[in-house]
Amino acid sequence: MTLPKLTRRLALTVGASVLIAGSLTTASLADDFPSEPIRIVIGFAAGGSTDTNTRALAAAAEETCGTEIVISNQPGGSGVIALDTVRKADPDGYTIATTPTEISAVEHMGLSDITHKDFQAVMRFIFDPHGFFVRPDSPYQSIEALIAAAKNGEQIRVATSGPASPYAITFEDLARTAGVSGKLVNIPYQGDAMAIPAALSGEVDLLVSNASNVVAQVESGDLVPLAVASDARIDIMADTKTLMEQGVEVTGGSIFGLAVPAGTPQERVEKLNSCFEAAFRSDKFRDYIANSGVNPAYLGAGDYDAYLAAEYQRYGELLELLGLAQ
Amino acid sequence: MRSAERRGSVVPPLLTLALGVGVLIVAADIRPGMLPNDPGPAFLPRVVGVALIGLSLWLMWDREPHEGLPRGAGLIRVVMTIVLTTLYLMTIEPIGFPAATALFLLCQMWLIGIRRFAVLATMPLLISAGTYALFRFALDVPLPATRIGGLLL
Amino acid sequence: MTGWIEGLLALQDWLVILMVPLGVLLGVAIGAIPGLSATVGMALFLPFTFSLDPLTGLVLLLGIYNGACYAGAIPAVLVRTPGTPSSAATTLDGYPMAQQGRAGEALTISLVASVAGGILGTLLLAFFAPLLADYALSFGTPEYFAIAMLALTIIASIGGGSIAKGFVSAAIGLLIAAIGFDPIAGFPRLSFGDAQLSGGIQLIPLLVGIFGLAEALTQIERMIASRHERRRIGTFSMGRNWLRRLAPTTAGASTIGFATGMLPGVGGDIGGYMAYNEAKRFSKTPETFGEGEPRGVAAAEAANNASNMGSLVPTFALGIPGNTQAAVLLGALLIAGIQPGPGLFNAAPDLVYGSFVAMTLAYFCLLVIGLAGIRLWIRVIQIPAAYLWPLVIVFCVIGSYAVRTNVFDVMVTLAAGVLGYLLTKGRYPVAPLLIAAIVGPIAEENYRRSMILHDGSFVWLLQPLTAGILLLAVASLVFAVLRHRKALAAANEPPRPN
Repeated sequence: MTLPKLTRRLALTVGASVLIAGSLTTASLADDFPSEPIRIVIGFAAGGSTDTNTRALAAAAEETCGTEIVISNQPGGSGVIALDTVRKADPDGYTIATTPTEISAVEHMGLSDITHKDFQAVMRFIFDPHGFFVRPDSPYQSIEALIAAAKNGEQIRVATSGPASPYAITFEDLARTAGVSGKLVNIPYQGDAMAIPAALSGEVDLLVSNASNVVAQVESGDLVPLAVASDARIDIMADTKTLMEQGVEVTGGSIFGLAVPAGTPQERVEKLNSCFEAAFRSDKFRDYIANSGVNPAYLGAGDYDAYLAAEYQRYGELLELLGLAQ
Repeated sequence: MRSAERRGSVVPPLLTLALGVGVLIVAADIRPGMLPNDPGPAFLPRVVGVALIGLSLWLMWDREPHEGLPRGAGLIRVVMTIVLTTLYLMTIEPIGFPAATALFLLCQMWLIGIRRFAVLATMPLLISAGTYALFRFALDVPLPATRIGGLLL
Repeated sequence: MTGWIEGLLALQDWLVILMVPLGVLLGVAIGAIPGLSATVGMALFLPFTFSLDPLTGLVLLLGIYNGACYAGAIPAVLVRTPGTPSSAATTLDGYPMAQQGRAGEALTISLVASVAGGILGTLLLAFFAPLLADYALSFGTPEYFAIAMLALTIIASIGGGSIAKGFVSAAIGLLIAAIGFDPIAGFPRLSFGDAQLSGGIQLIPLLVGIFGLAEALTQIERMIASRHERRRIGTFSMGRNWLRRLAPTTAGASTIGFATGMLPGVGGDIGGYMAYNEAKRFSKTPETFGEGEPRGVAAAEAANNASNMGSLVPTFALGIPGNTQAAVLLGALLIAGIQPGPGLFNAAPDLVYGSFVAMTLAYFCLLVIGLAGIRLWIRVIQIPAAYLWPLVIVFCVIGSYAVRTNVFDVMVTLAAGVLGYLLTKGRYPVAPLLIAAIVGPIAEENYRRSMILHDGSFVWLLQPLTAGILLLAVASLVFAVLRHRKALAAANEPPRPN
């Protein structure tokens, strides 16, 4: 009995002294941030678009930030689980969240109390605009025809990945702006892997998805793009008009960005912003963008904060209008 | 023995019944769906609740054999293992994985009846260090470790 | 044919060839550890493939994919803890075999069946992918619901014992699956306002608890530390006439596994259970299933490996991931500048056929590595029980923690472990719980979406394919009940011992 006690006391003593030494080192190294591995918590499963985009950026950032970056996937609840983990983490810059588009929606819907205010934005790196797609034999071969049909009282079934998914918000915004709310019926699927086949087989009339998700189907002629919801045309579908060009003032897309818990020291946020921006501009990540067809759209820490605040406002209004707000 | 078996045959149907009623009560508070013609988020819980109530009646008739819960030393070992595992998972993040694992293994091995000092003093530390190294370095799984925890190894 | 030649030529690079055994070895290590899934393993090596040429990276990832799928069977047989969800059905007969001192035989069968199922699946994939992909598209929402119902009927015939108890276990599984955001409206339910619960119960922590931790509790209950019995591992041979005994089951199970794997969202876990159930149904001695029947192990493992290959059909032919691992593969292709989809076979034949050849090689490689390895990892069960089961608990805890680096998941494992232990004590089979937890969400989602798509009318139930599968489900249920009653009558003939 005495021997284990002795060992424990010994261990505690040594442990305590190392702890003190450790905290001294941390203090003296404060300027060398980041000196430990950085953890990026992703709210979606491995293999999804958030995961792939973030891993590609992180691979480049390991060099530009000069530290190991560990990716941890915490899928569940539209990304809420991961956001909750990060907002509770120490605000020391070592735990980073990916900011899903849903961060602007969950609080309005009464699903969680998480908002962008719990975080300090680091940067946005991709804005993947939503596109509208139909089968080649669809009666709706343009946005105009689609809206006209809806005005005639036709019900148009739209495949999305949930009633309050970013896709749904974009098409409901389209319906609201065009004055056909309620005529576009949301048919939710579990992600693009289920929604795209439904559009291909004709189970639904219209598909809303990130344009980069269906490049192959558009190239092979199995799906026809009607519009993209970006400010300007995008490279991967240069012939496809934007909604704005077709007279509908709506933009919408999936955002991919990074944020740290609110209260993180400003100089660390700046350090992260600059080293992740360097990763964003690296050749490695440039190649990834070119190959994957995603749409790069950099916003710095301050701009991204403002952007998230504006999106929060817009989602609030839309969800209120749709009766989805709680 | 016989009385334990008979008690066993009444408790499960009652628990099933209680679970079914509980589910129906909770399901009553679930928000209805927003989409037209959607049976709604409460649909599945309601079906399960009704099914559980029906099944509780079926279980009353069921005459299948079953084992009762263990008694004596066996029961103590199981309950203590559950308690130790609970303490283990509660300590993983505060004191770090290596220390929590070593402490858990030490207590658990002692519980099972290992009394040889050499074994108790070395095996928990070796196993915990080995698994930590495996996950942290070979498999890149970030397990929590505090400085004290890391040093206890 | 020219595609195959291009594929073979593309493999004439020592680096590509080297990736085959490397990937398989990594896959075996990842798959054998509960909690580390092939998806996470592949995602881990995804950035590494950025710097390789496309085929080299793809071959590495495919090696991990194949290796992990097999390796899930190892802990499933040895300690009743499936290393991956698709090996859940392997525990049904694999673990009883190990307990009877036939662990060597069980591991050999699981390896050979995995390899056979994998190679059969690769061949089906290579020759029929575009054709089969079109067929898979004819499965719409109503058909998915019907398939899910068919899979749910397995509950009545699996696990033996009382049908009522199987249904209770399944109802608990459905309840567990219902926790969290619902699949259509996205509203939290049964979560009591808790943020973690509203995120839902993850499959792997549930699986690890209900099998691994529950078994550890059972073993610790009856453990007598002073008695160190050395567990027998038996022969590594598959016994006489193994080819004749196991080949029909393996072939049939591979077909079922492949067919289910082709449907996005339906994976090897369901395929394994469905194939197991059919193997039992067509057997002349169904009562041996669940008591250590080699054909049960062969069916489950052949099916889940073939299912893995089936999942690649929509991946290669349509550019739509058939499962989460395939999503990582698609990511790798995208990063390499290759747009997967209908044009892939023409645009990059060297890559497509190169991967088919590499996957076949990977399975042969797996056979060699596996046969050599069995003698090593079988030693696990020779660890004295007093060390082994605490160690299993530690691995259950790390495994479930590693899924999302989240203590909540460990709590789920612990709760599932206690539940699994209590159910086992009451002779409630746990397989129905797991099947219901996996299939229930698919059934619910597709039922609700069918109702929305058809404006609240039930006409969709009468569509030919849907109605056909549903009739099959009803027939399967009736058959199971009748056979159970017959078995019960036979057992009641002599007075039952107390």
